[in-house]
Amino acid sequence: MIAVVLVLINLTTVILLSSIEDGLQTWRLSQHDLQLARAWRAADSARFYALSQFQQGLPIPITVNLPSGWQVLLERRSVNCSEAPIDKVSARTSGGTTKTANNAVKNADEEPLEYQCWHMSIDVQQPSYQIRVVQNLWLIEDQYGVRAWLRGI
Amino acid sequence: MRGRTNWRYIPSKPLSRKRVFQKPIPPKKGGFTLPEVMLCLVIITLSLPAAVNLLAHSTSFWQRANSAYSEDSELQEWLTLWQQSAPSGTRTGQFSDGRNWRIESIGELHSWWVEASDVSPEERGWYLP
Repeated sequence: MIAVVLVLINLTTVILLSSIEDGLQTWRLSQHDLQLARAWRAADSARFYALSQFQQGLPIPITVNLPSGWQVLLERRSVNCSEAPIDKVSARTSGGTTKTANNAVKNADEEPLEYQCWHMSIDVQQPSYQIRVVQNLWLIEDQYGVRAWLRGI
Repeated sequence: MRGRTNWRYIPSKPLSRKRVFQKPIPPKKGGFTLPEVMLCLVIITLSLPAAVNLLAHSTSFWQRANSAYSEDSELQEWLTLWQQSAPSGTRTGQFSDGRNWRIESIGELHSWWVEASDVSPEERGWYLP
């Protein structure tokens, strides 16, 4: 009889622990979903802020702090314009219109334009949930201060 | 012999002179001993309230998770909707869960803010049309 009681205790414990484990796993997954959505919003926000700064010719900060401990790292490095896919993708210009950056180059047939290009990565990390969202941007500026940008892959 | 009862003498009363022959009482099968009963009682006493407590907690646990999901989806829907029109000036409002929100325009850049609740943290961001 004591053996039956012990087996019952064992079974009950196993079922209880298993359901607790399932519950915690589901909870963790749901939290992961929410954190991922917040990470994307943080990355989007930092991108918009950086583009606004770039549009106005103001310095882009290295970090953007958002509430609830979210920190976004913005890394900008100067690149050769041949690296940027400017002849393939539509770029946003600081004038608010959308045109290809390549057209902008071609429009200035009369005098060759000098371009300066940057690659910017926007990095959001949440190590406790193993979340990392990275967005890439190409920033282009000619010698007249006309600025354009496009989303990288 | 099979089927035959083995009668034995059981004195009914110690002082009686009468001799009574009775069937022997068979030993009880499958019963619980006192320690077993006590152990079962202890297990039931401990595990029943624990199970009820766990159930009650898990219910509130999932209610919080559901609230967090619905608050997040409401925030995302709100963001998507106002970003389509991107109104200028300052606007304030309240979500169905009671969280306050605010949108401010700083030149072309729009900044947004959403208050924290019991299940969702405070959020802030920007939008450039």
